[in-house]
Order: sequence, then structure tokens, then C-alpha cells
Amino acid sequence: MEEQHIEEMKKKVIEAVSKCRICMSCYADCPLYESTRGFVTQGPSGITRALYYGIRWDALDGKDGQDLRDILYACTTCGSCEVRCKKSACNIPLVEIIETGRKLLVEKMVGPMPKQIKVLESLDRNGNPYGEPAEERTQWLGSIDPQDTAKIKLVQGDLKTETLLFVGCTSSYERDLVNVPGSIVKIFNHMGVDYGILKDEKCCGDPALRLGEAGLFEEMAEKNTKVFEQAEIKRIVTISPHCMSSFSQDYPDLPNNITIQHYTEFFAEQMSAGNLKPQKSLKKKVTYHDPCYLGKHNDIYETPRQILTWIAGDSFVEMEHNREQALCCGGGGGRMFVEIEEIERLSEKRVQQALDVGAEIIATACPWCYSQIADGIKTSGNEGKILVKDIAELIAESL
Amino acid sequence: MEVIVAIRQTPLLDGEIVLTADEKSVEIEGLKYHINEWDLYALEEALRLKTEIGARITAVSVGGKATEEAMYYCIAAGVDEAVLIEEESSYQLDSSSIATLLEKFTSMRVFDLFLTGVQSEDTGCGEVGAILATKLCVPQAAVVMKIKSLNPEESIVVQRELEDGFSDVQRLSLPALLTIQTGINQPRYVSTMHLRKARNKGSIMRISPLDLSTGTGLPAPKKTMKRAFLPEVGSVKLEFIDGVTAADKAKNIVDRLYGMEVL
Repeated sequence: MEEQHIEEMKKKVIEAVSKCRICMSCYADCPLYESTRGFVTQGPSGITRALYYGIRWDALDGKDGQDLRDILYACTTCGSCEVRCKKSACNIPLVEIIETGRKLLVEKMVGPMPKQIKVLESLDRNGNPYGEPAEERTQWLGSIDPQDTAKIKLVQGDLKTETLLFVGCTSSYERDLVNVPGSIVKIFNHMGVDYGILKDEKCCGDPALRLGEAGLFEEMAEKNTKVFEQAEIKRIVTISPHCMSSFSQDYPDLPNNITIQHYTEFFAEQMSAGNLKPQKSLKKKVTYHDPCYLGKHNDIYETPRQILTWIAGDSFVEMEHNREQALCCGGGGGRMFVEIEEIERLSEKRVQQALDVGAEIIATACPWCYSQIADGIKTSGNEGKILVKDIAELIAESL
Repeated sequence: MEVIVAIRQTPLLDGEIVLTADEKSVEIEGLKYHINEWDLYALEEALRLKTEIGARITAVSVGGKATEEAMYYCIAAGVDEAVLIEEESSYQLDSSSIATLLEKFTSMRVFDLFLTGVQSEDTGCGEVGAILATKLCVPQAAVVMKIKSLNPEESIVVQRELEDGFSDVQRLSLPALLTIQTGINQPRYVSTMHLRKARNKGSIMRISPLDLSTGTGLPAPKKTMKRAFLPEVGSVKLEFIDGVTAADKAKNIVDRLYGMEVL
């Protein structure tokens, strides 16, 4: 990164943080502050202020840089702080500031957190953050109904597809989640959608960006964009809100004629048009956990609820914290790959909120939220009392 | 203070290994490479000395065209000089030959400290450091887990890892050679931007073995491979144990183990 660009990033942070009135209202919904020991640097304006002084005092490397790294990388980048800040009329881009700080630390060779280094190396080498072999990415296809697999167009070489199902890394490699892409494939086939998946799909690059590795993200975005253009794709339907958010907000050169949708948006559209009709209604009480990158980052709150209401009717209930106030699962911002000390696990807290409203199922629409909540159910000793399900699974079960 | 750190590029071990027809080596075609893990820790230790006492760091490697990438990595990480002793057949060289080439190079320099990794991921011999120290006639400490103190004009005190959790502390007069153990530090992450800059603007000093007064070029090997072979893999049966709750799964595992008369 050129020196000039680094100075511009620093200037941007200084200017943005200088506008903060330190009203502390951003702490009210901050999941990090909520789940830790409550130090001032474990909340949004404290984190950004630490960065401010790190820049001002030229303390971005060495031991000072490492201390700052531990502060900056603890954030889940959920965006709750920005929602609050917007309401207080300051409208400070707190998440953007934190991510800029991470980029500065990566350039100083202080970031990311040691355990996240393997994630970046694997993204570069294998095209996924999990250290899994690239050639095993489509192995999940072997675990679903062969009749469904047979209808999938595997896009490679000169083969084209207008609609692409972007499966994503977690849905491809996480064995416990195989039913999620499996359900989407089943629904697509049920509706007779002409679609394809990429034979050599690579990560969207979101983890690189969140961890501050802007250069790697740029390279991944460039390669993926080229693949999308070559396959003449017009619509990308993603399983993960993180992929959707990266494609729509962070890819610099994605052609404007490509529509990016999270699968909940696509299915809600199809339901409204009468192309997708649930046949069986869900008898169990279900609640919905808002994924941060669907809700707070992309303002998609009602579409998943619309689907759940279609499927579950009156059995759909809201948790105490929902929509803009929804509690983060704790897996965003690169925290899926590192353990941050918490007094109470965010996912366990979320499970308790669901139990409090009598829910038997926590529905969500993000592979990371799914994994975090599944863990939270186990670690809080609530196995057998409540289940986590992806909305796609519930739709598929209703057909 | 002048520090030289030896770097080896080794194949990534996450792919399938294919032996050559003569069963004396592995097929290098299609292999992906990275820097030997132990050497990354040695490099980081050298860079730490640069930050703390302003040491000047030279990274040196014996390797072919593919090793250029490792050299650019070293430049991106912050070394002052990257030297590649160009030898395409470096993967066939034995430890003695590599140590000889490094010794010839080092004898043209003034150095205070030479760092190598304890061993390489590919051959796992752990010999280059010891042979090189002998050839250079400098004291050596093997499997160093900590540099405790350093007097740049005089000596270095290091803690070495022994068996069973034991360690010892040694003082070595300088110049000296240390073989560095993994875990001594946390190697830094070198970003794509830094790597890009190193590839565009960095410069690698290239030396031919012929320039190193090794007679005909490559030193004669002291060791030759008789036969390389892959371990025989027995048939492995994989079974996933079902169960709704963790308790169910645990019970099913225990039942299964009883059934197999393992318990």
C-alpha cells in the first residue's frame, strides 16, 4: 500500500472520530460491551478512540500496536453502533473506522490476530478460510438427494448460466450445514429455476476484507468478477448474507447488470408472484434471529419475516431483541476464527432469549449465525429443547 | 550487527505426493510451495533484532526460479537484502551440499549471527545448521526457543529446548549460529500489498554456485537417496455416530466401543 494511501486512511479516521461526541449511546446495543468485562475499549467509541490515539501518537506498531490490535479485532462489526449513532444524529461510520484501523495494522504487519493468519493464508491458497482443499468444495453435492444433484448445472469453461447460486465457503464445507444448500437446491428444482453453481467457486473475499487484508480482497474480487462476466451471469443468489453484502457493497467492478440477492429475497419474490407456495404449515413455535449482514448492514428485516409468517403463521414469535436491536451471534468481523474472552457467550444469550418467548425453533438465514447458535444450544445445555434451522430448510420442509 | 538468515522453500504437504519412477525423489511437477515453517520463525527472530537493535538482515536461499517468491516474501517482510544462490536442482541436494554453498556465500561476508530453522518440512534432516556452523568454525546452539540477551559486540545468551520439557541456557561468543525452533515468536503476516510492492520494486541478488568457488559448481553430495517410499495405508473405515444430543452421541460412541471390545 502506498504511503500516500496510508496517510489518507489515517486522516479519514482522525476526521471521523473527531466528530464523536462520546455520548456513549453506541454502547447500549454493542454485543462486545454486553458480553465482556465492560472496559471502555470494549465498546464502539472506545475502540475508535483507541485507534485515534494510536494514529495521533504514532503507536500502530510494536507492543502498542499489538494492544490496539486486540482491541480492534474483538469487534464483531455487527453494525449495532452505527444504527444507534445514526439516531443520535452524529452518524459516524464506526464499523468503517474499525475496519480501516485493521487495514492499517495489517500494513504495519501487526494485524490480524495470530489465529486469523491461517485464515488469510488459506483464502489465498485454497479459496476458502478453513484450510480445506479447493477440490473438495463441491463434495456436499454427494450428500444431497441424487435427483436434485442431477438437475444442477455445474458451470465451468464455456458453460453459461443466467442465475447463479453462490454457495459460499461455510455451506460448502461445514458438514452440519449440508442441508442448507441441499434445501435451496430442492426449492430451486421444485420451482424449475434454470440455475447453475460454479464448479470452481472461490470465497467472495469477505473474511479478508473484515480482517483488514484489502489487497487480498481486491485480488479475490477481481478474479470472481471475471468468472461472473465469463459465465454471463445476470443474477447471483447467495446463501450467506456476507457474500451478498460483499458483492453488492464492496466489489468495485461488478457489472451493474448483475442482480445480487440473498436467497430470502429471491424466495420472497417468488412467493409473492405465486411461484412458490408452502403446502404444509409449520406447527412448531418459531422465532427469527436477524443476521447482522442481512439486517443492520443491508436493511433486510421484513423479507425473512414475511417468509416465516407464510410458513408458520401465528406460530412465528419475536424475541425481545429483534430487527435493529437484534443481538449479534458473535461470529462476524472475523471472530468465527478466533476466541474472544466473553463473560457470557453471545450465542448462549440469544438462545436464552428464544427460550424466553417459548420458541422451539430459532430460524436464521446465515451459515455463521447457524453455526454459532447451534454451538450456543449445546454449550448452554439446551439440546433437545430448541433447534436452529435455516429458513431455507423450513421452506423445503413446507413443500 | 549483521544477521544472515537461511530460507528454504518447501512443498506444501496438503496435496498428494507422487514418487519419481526411480523411487529416489518426489515429482516436483505441480507442487505448490511455501517457506519452510521453521525458517519463518528464524526470519521473524531476525526481523525482531532489526526492530530492537537495528540489525541488518540478509536472507539467503539455495533454490531455483520458484524460490524467487520466497525471496520476495523476505523483502516484503522487511529484510535488507535477499540473496538467491540459483540452483534448479536444489531439492536433490543433500544437507552437506547446501551447507557448503551457504558457507561459501557466508565466507564472502562479515556476519555476527547466522539463523536457520531447526529443520525443513520436506527432508526433516535438521543437519544444515550443524554442518554450516562446523564449516564456518563458529559456535552453534540448536533448537533455540528464546534469545535471552544479546551483547552485539560480544556474545548471545539463548535458551534451548531439550526433551521432556527441560531446557538449558547457553552463552555463545559471536559470531554464532542458532537453529530456531517454532514457537519462539509469532511470525508476522505479510500482506498482499507488501508482496505486490516487493515483486514490483524489490531486487534479489542472484549468485551462481559457479561464483562461489565450489570447483565445478555443485559440491559433491555426502549422502545419496537409496529409496523413497510412501507408507502403506491400511483400509480405514469411517463411521459417523448419530444422536440428537451430545449425550446421545456420547452414549452411542461408548456402546460402539464396547461392541468392538475396545472398552
